[in-house]
Amino acid sequence: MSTPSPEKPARVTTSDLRQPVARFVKRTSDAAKQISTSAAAPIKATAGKLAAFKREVAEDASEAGGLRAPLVEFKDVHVRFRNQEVLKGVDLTLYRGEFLSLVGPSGAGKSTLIRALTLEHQPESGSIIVAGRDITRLRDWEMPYYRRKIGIVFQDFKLLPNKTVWENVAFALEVADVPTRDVRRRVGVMLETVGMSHRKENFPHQLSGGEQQRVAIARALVHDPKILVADEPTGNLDPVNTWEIIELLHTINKTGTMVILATHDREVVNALKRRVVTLRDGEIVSDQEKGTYVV
Amino acid sequence: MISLYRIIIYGLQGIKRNLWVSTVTVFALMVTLGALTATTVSDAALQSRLKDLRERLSYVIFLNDSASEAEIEIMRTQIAQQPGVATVGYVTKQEAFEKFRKDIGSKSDILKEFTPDNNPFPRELAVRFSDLDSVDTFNGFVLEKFDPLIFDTSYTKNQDAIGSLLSWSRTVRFAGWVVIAFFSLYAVSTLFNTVRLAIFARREEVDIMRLVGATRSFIRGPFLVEGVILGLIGALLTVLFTYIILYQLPGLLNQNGSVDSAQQSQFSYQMTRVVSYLRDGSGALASFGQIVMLQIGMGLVLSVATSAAAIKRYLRHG
Ligand SMILES: Nc1ncnc2c1ncn2[C@@H]1O[C@H](COP(=O)(O)OP(=O)(O)OP(=O)(O)O)[C@@H](O)[C@H]1O
Ligand SMILES: [Mg+2]
Repeated sequence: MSTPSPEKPARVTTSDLRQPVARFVKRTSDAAKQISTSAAAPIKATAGKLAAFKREVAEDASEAGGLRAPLVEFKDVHVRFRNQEVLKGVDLTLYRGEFLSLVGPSGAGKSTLIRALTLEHQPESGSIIVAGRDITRLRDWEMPYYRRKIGIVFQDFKLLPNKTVWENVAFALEVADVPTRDVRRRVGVMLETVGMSHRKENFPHQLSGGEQQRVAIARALVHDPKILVADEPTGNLDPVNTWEIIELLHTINKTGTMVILATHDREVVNALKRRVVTLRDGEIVSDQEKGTYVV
Repeated sequence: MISLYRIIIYGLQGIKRNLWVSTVTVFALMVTLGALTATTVSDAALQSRLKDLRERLSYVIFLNDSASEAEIEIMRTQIAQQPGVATVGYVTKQEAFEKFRKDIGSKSDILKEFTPDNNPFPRELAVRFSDLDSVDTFNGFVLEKFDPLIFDTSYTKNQDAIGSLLSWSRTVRFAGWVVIAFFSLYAVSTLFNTVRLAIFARREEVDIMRLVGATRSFIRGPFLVEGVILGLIGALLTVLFTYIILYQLPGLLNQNGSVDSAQQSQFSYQMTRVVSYLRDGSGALASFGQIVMLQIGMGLVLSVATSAAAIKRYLRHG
């Protein structure tokens, strides 16, 4: 098990990504047809627009310097469900601005690891240090404030069914007492970034899976988190939407947000050419700087 | 401040966007309030009717003309001290005569036969009871102690009627309380289950809100706002129905009764009797304004308490 060397930052640009994307799409002829006739609005995300957005909402401008500082550290994390040990002592250090793919067979413990980070399930032992604080020791009342610092994207989108697209994204800011004027501006920019401005009055059930996931990503990003956690965000999507979402995540990462992506998608992992951590039976069995999908 | 505003907006949105569930909740609340009101009002009606009867039931002692005023005064004092006795009234010969004259009407020639010097009416002690159970013991006490002074008592004549009324009223009161307890419990638990189901259906919403960083009070707030508003709506509708039933229904029924068949008018006659019986009860209980306040208060308390209890279990941790 190796940790990538901190002095050599991985750099992938959007153009690096486009080639494998195109190759992949060509292979699936159905998808190739779809991409030209796709009814969904193309993702308008550009690094420039997102960067401008981040500048607008940035809390501290000094963060650009510490790109390789440890941001998340799992230390000997054990998780147990009844008598089954699901995580058997995970040690993992993640750096600011990193894009980590978490792979491994079904039941390996990927979701469990992510749920420990989002405080959905407390580890039995070990610690998880995020920005210098052990989040396993947070009090109940501190949890909402921690969750506002991270963004979470799920396989099943988890949008609020009784709220419109706009309201769903705004909700993440409204819970944090952001003034209405700022909410209006930031939600507007974010929906444009994910290409969903034209559906802002719609309810989730009126959207396709890919559209719902873009709204979910907008919600996860609207408060400008340092960490974006995505557990199989493309698991319910077709190849075209998969690539649009991955491209979106990639763009987000380029603006400095750390992304943790749990996925089963070999094509995605291989195309990203970023750090890959493989879990098996609750243990990390490989950690590659520019990894490929091996199970 | 701004989050309070948002919580209220979310609460209103919740009602509007879960319209079906909101309607069912209001309905359950109306049934609960209606049940509570109907049982308390009908119990009050029964109670006031019984009080009425109890007051009419007096134990009258007719005194021998030979008994002296002093003897009567001693008797009166001792009687008044008996357990269960509320008041002891004294009726003079003259008053007894006046009473008789009033009863019979001034037209009658009989009255000419009687003058103050020739007055056959005995003096009376009229005893009223606060506790009807003690009438039997009282009767024994009076007959044993004061027999020489007594010309007659009215108790012996009414004994059977009093006895059956006593046991009947006790049974009815007990049955009334059983019905009230059962009905209220049933109605409240129905309301609680309705609200719990409504919130259970939205537990995923609660989970999502938590994951997006909402604090407990921010999650709970809108549900409580919904509870307050639905509670008010339910209470006001119940008030409206209560008003219509107690004050408008008899008029409507009588209108119909005059044109419709005899059977219908028989029905409306019975209904009118029931309604006026209930209205007496509600009058004995409180003024209509007080009943309105009570219903609104109960509506709010029930609705908010059930919402709070139902939401509590989904907010136990983080
Ligand atoms: N709430 C739970 N209660 C009991 N066991 C659980 C629970 N959640 C997960 N597990 C168990 O933990 C193990 C790891 O599950 P986890 O969901 O982390 O796997 P995964 O790597 O995400 O799999 P997949 O790729 O299928 O999503 C599985 O054996 C699963 O049965
Ligand atoms: Mg999983």
